[in-house]
Formats: sequence, structure tokens, C-alpha cells
Amino acid sequence: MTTARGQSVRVLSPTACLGLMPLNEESFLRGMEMRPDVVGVDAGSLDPGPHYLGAGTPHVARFQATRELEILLRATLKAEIPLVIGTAGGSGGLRHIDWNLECIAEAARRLGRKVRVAVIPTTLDPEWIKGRLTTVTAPGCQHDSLLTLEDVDACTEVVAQVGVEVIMKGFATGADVILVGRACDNAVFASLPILLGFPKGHALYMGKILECGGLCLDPSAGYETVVAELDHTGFTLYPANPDFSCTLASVAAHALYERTDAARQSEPGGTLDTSGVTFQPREDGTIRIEGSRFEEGDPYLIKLEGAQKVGYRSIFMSGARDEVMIANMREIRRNALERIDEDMKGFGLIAGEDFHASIRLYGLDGVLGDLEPVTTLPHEIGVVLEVVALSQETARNIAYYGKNFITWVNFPGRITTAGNVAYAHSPSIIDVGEVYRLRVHHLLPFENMDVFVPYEVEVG
Amino acid sequence: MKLHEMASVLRSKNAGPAVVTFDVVFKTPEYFGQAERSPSFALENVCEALRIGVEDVLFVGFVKQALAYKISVMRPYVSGSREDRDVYGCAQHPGLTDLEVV
Repeated sequence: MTTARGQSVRVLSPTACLGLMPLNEESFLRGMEMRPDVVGVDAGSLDPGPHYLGAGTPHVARFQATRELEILLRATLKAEIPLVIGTAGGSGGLRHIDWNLECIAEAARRLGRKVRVAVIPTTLDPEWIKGRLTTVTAPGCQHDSLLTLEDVDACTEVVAQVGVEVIMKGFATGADVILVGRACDNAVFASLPILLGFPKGHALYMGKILECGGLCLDPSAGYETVVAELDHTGFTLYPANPDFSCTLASVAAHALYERTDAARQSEPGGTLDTSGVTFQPREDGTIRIEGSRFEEGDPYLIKLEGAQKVGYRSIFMSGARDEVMIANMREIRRNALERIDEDMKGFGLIAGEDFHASIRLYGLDGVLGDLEPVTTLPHEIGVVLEVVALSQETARNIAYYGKNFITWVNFPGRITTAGNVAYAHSPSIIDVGEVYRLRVHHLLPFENMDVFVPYEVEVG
Repeated sequence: MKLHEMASVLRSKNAGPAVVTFDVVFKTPEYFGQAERSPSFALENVCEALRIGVEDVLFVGFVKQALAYKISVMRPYVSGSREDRDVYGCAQHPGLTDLEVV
């Protein structure tokens, strides 16, 4: 397999995340005029939190994801190049793959086409993981605890965040679309180039820059298209829209984005070393990047992710506009939480076990909490009472009970005897639904990639 | 001079669910050089501005080819967990915004 131009390969990234922003169709079509060899798009992340992985739900609007798939497929089918979608449906679980397939099918019907999809699930059978754990240990990722059998059993689903070696399996099928479960963002873009024999260090770093679409541009715009041309010594980035450019600041800043270490990044099977990278911005708004290296690691580690359901959340949203109340707000919060915890004992509910109640004071310290350095009082405070309990009904009832210690509470100098705060909604209590925690976030050693098996479907 | 006056980028963001990373890109090589030499960027001083412990710092350093400064720290709570207040970690930067660079 070679590209049309032999010594280089072109990769197009149309947006930061499928269905999120929304993408600029005109820029994408301009990018397609550069005749890319593959279009890659990242469809998800763990960034929206563990709820989506645990609950099996998407984090973008279905109608927008479908519209963008229609735009992408119309062009890639015409150009006869593959479309690679990583982290299907937002979290890459089995339910997310099904959702993403439905979006592809709907887009295909609108185009009046049949579309062949190579699906690569990356969900691992809990029994398979537990079998592995009899011979290997899986260290924590960003924490110190080893993966246990209990961790595996506690999660709704455990996905593996796979790298290029797994995504490559999809190209052999010749499918129109390669839909991958949970995938490393950069591997979505680097897989075809590496399959074609281009250096892994350059390809993965190119993928890192492309993974968020036009977020690497000046001005930063995730919904804009960027095309990379990769050869054996490095790669060049081209903004598709002439109103945008690749500058040293925009690209170098993006290279730091979401990375702990400025120069070294752990990847499936090794480490990407960018300490020797050079950026050569050009006057035409393009930039040349060289000098990244990949170090093979032993063993080959893949990150696993799994979410455990820990309860249900209900919230009460209100606004305080009274100066005297605002002056007393921190004490009102403390007293309200003490009172809720105390009174619930009378209903057989123990704080910290059966439920957790908290109050966020937006305008005071809602964002930074104890880390907030500013102490001046605002003219308005958003008061959000939040209850997490073992059932939705219990969470809702505690919130209904607890809101009264905000609404009707007495404080020194109070003259607002008809009620202290503005209720934002009726009903005043909002059931938010299931709450999850990230229980599995570990690195599992793999001997080979045999557990990841693609299958083909035709939709439309 | 306040740090935000010297920066074209000053932001925070998750780097994985348990880490938040702060990126500062300076407007000019001169500002970068000034910052690199400034005692304001002593680790203790930066940690005090962010109200975090030095022991929670995973990475810190200036990145010359990017004219940047980066510091990555453990999050107090994992992203999206029950106690978390900033799921994407995008709003943790105010401590750096007004850092006085002497």
C-alpha cells in the first residue's frame, strides 16, 4: 500500500471532536482539495467525566454528529479515502459504538449510499482482564493503586485506550469507515502513515497536533480544518482556511495542551520524546515540524478505563441578591449543611454513607473552592444545593428538605421574611441522574493485540 | 508586571483525569527571558499563587522552543467525581493571572 505521492502522506483533521463545535464545512471542503490520503476525527474523550463512560451515553448532540458525518462521508466516499473515527460515541464503549453506527447509518441514508464500516471494539471482557491479572500486575495511571479484581467487577464496562497497532487492523478491510472504540487521539491520525512505513515519532506527534482540529491555529478554532503532510524527516501543517495560520505560538502552545510533561508523553507501547523538536513557521501561514522521536517500551502498556456507579444526584438552584444574606453566606452554608446532616439521622440516613450534601456558592467560591484567593463580596451569589444519594428518590427528598435551610433561614439583620433567594426553576429540585466515579484507570501489559478483533458491517 | 500582560496564552486544562496542567505562552522572547530569570517563578512562589502544595507538582519548567512555561499538578479531586467543581479543569488559572513578575 502506497500513497499517490509515494514519499509523503497527507492527513486531514476537520474538527476537534465529532459533533461538538460545529465544524466549518467550507474549510473542510478546501482541505479536501489538497487530496488527503485519510481523514481522521476524534469523537470523544474522558474529559467530560466518567458519567458518560459509565452510563453509555454520548456527550454531543446526535443531530449535529449525524450532520457532520454526512458532510465528511460525502467527501471521503467521493475521494475514495478512509474516514477514521476514534473513541466512538464519546467514550468508546459498546453502547457508544452502537450510537455512532446509528449516526453513520442515518448519514449514509441521507447520502443514498451504502457505507462499509470496520468496527474495532476495545471493550474488554471482565473475565479476560481477571485472567490477565493472574500473571501480570496493572499499575495505576496517575495514582499508586494496582488494579484489583474488585475494581474490574465494580465497573459497568472496561475499555482499553488503544494505539496505532489496533487501529491499523481496520485498514486491511478496505472499509469506507474505521470506527474504533476507545482510542488514543493521536493514533487516529498516525495509524495510516505508520502502516505505510513513515516514522512513528513523527506520525504520533503529527497526530498530537492534529487531534483537536484547528485548536493549533491562530486564532485558535477547533472547528477549523488542518491538513498535515508527513514525510520521512518531519511534517508540515497547512490551515485549510486562509483566514487562519499556524504560528510558533499557536502550534507550540497546542503541543503542550493536555500534557503533563512538556517533552515526554506516554503512549501505548512506548514514549514520545519531543525534547528535540524544532518549529519553522513560514510566511504563508504553514509550519514545518521536525525532531520528535518514539522510544519503544517493554512491556507494551495500554490504559484501561472503567466507571463505577456511586449514586444519584439532585440539585436545587437559586440566586441570592440580598446584601445582608450575602454578607452571611458562608455561615449560612455551614449551618445548612450541619442541619441537613443532623436532621437526616432522624430518617435513618447517615451523612457520608447514605448521602452527601454540599452547597456551591457561585460568585463567592463556586469554581475554586478552598483555592479561591479573592475574598471580596459580590452583589449576587448563585446558591446550588447538591445531594448525592443511593437512590434518585432519596437524593430528591433530601434536596427538597434541605433547601429550606437556605430559603427560610434566619441570619443577623434579616428583613427578607418572605423568602431569601430566587428559585431558578419550578419544580425547584432537578434530578440530574446517575453519578459515576472513575474506578479503573490503570496500565495493563499486553503481549499482543489479538484480543481486539474488527468486524465489518454495511449500513445505510 | 502582571503575568497576563506578558502572555498570549494563559490557561489551565486536564492532562488526564487526575492532573491539571497550566500553560503560559509569552508574547515575546524578551518576556520569556524576563520570566525565566525572575524570582517570581521560584516553585514555592508559584505554588503559593495557585494555593497548592509543592509536593503535588508533577512537572514544572520553561520550554524555550515554545516560549512557554508549564506546570502540572495533581488535582484535589478526579475530574467529574462527586466532589469535583471543574470537570475540564479549564478555570483553575486565576492564581497565575495576576502573578506579579518582578
